[in-house]
Amino acid sequence: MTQPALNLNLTSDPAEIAGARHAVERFAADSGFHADAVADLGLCVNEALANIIRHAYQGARGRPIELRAEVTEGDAIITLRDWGNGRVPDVCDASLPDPAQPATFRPGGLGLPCMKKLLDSLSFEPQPDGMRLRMTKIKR
Amino acid sequence: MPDVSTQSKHVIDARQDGDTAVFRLKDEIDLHSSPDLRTDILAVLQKGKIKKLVLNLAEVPYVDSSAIAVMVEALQKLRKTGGKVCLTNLSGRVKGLLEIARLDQIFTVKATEAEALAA
Repeated sequence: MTQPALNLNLTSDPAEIAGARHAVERFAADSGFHADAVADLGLCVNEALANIIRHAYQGARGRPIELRAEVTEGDAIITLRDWGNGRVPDVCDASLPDPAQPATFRPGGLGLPCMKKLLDSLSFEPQPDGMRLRMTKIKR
Repeated sequence: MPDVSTQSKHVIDARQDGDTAVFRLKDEIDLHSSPDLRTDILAVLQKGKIKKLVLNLAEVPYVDSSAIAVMVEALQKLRKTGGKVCLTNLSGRVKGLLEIARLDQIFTVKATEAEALAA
């Protein structure tokens, strides 16, 4: 049976991240995803929301974020819509630190490269008034 | 070890003995709460003399990249004086994120707090 889509109306408050992550993890588990994939999706939603709050809304609280999670042909598709600055992150430039060069590590910037690594696809779709982020994880 | 005053709800207790500081942490740590943890850890490091920071994560089932960033910032500060950050009692999920981020090799990871103190 196909799991009904999950729709969440959130705001740009870091206190809402954990609840949204837990909801997506439950949705993915109920949709039959393996525990590792469930954890991956939860982390990616966490990181995506944190990036929207910090970058798209530049830390402003109370701004809207819409989250939709659905399973289509076995794939989990999670869409996050914001009405922030609409800036597309440089996905190509998002790389993980080189363990051989710890002196070059910086405290931030880990979220996007982790999302790239854990998802099967990640796309930023600029909107006239913000951004739509689409994340896909294939069920294996 | 004398106790260290902290604000973060994630700190079960924190103590300092000579050049070693030990934080026992709890619960899921994400962007909502990592700034308070950062304040507590940096406050201890800024007092100086710390060469080893031990973070006991036995009761931390989950962290996001903002929590990892706090650990990296502490490590960068300690490295300047030859110090290190030891992570202990990692859950599978926390260990997994460190591996994904390729950071498991730059921290000193130990199974127990006792091993970290002896390292």
